[in-house]
Amino acid sequence: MDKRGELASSIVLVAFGIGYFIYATNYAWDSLANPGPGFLPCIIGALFTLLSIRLMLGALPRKSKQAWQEATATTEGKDRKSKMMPLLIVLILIIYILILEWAGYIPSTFLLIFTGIKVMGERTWLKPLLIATGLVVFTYFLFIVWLQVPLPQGKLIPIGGI
Amino acid sequence: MDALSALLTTLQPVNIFACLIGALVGTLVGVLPGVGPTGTMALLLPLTFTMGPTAGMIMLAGIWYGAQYGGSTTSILVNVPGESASVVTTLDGYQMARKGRAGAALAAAAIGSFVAGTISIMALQLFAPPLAEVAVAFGSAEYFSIALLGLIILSNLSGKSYLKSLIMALLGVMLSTVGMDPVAGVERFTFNTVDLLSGFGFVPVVMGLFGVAEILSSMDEPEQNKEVMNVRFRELYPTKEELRRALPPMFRGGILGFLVGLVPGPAAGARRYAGSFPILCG
Repeated sequence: MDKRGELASSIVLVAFGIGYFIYATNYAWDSLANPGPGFLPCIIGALFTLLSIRLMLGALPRKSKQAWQEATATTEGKDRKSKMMPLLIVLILIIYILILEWAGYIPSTFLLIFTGIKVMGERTWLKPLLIATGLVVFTYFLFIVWLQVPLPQGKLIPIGGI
Repeated sequence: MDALSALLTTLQPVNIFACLIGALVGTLVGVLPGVGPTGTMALLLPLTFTMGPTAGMIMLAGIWYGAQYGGSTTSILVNVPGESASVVTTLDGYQMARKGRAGAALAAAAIGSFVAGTISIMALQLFAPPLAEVAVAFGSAEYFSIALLGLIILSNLSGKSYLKSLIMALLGVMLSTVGMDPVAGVERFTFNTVDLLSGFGFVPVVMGLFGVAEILSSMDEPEQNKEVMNVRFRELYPTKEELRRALPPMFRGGILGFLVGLVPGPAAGARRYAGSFPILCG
C-alpha cells in the first residue's frame, strides 16, 4: 500500500481503537484475580490503539516535504475508474445486505451478481444476465427444491420459502 | 476381537458403497461456502433414513469427510474457505494453485487427510481411555496458552509487517468480544441488537474476509487471469518431489491432530494451525 493510503487507514484504525476503548470502560474491570467483563476489552483496546498510533507515525511524512510528495506520487498514474471499483463493490455489498430482508434472497442475489459483473467492467448485457440467472436458478433448485432449506423470503417477491 | 469384527462389518460392500455415496454427496454440498461438515450432515440426514443403522452411520461418516474435503477444495481453488477448519488450507493451498499446481494441492489435501485420519483413528482406538484423562485435565490456563500460541503464529504468518498483522490479530480479538460475555453474562458491544447477542459467527467473518478481499484484490490487477484454475485429471498426481515433501507433514499432522483433537472445544481449526506451525518455522 502506498504511504498516503497507509496513513488514511491507520487514522481510521486509531479512531476505531479509541472509540472501542472508551466504550469498553463502561464495563466492570473488577480485580486482576477476578477479571470482570471489561478487563479484556480495555487491555485489547489500549494495545490496539497504541499499535495503530505506531503504524500512523510510521506512515507520517518523515524527511522533507518533497520526498513525501514523491512517495505519494507513484499512484497518480492509475486511472480513477479502477480506483473507484473496490469502493463501488463494497457499496453494492452494503446495499445487498440492506435490501436482502425486504426483497428476499433470490431477487437481491440476482441483482448483486448482475450489478457486480457490470461494475467489474463487463460490456455486454447478455453474459451477466445469463450468469446471474443461472446461479439463482441453481441455488433455487439445490436449496429449496432438493434440500428443502428455506432461504430468506422477501416481502416484495415472495419466493424462497417452502 | 471386537475391533476386528467391526472392521469386517465396515468392509461389507453395502457399507463401503454407503460410504462412497456419502463422501461424494458430502463433497458436492461441502463445496458450497458456509456449509460446513455439520451443516452438510444436517442437510443430508434424510438420505440415511431408508438405511439400516450401520450403513446410515457409515454414510454419515462419509458425508463428514466429504464435506471437510469440499471445504478444502474452495480454499485451494478460489481462496475462500468453506468452513472454519479449512482456513489454514488457503494459506499454502491457494499459493500452490496460483503456481499452477492446483491439482497437486487437491491431491495432497485428499491423501494427507486420508493418512492423518487413518493414523488418528487407529491411535484413538488404542489409546483413547488414558489420553482422555489428560484431555479433561485441560484448564483455562492451558486454553489461554493455546490461544496465545495461535495469535503468535498468526502474527508470523502474513509475513511483511509484524505490526500490521499484530494489529489485525488484535482486531480479531476485539471482534470476538462482541456478544454475551461467557464468564459474567454481560452483553458487550451489542448496542441493544438481538442478533449480536451471540457474537459474530466465525464462518461468516472468515468468508467475508477471504472472499471479499479476494474479489477486491483481483480487481486491483485486472490483467491477471484469476478465474478458477482448470484442473486436468493427469495433473492430479503430485510429482515425486512434492510427495516426498508432503509425507512428513502428513504423519506429523496425523499425530498432532490426534493429540489436539482429544481436547474438547473447537479443535479442527486449532489443530490445523498447530499442524502448520513447524512448516512455517522450517
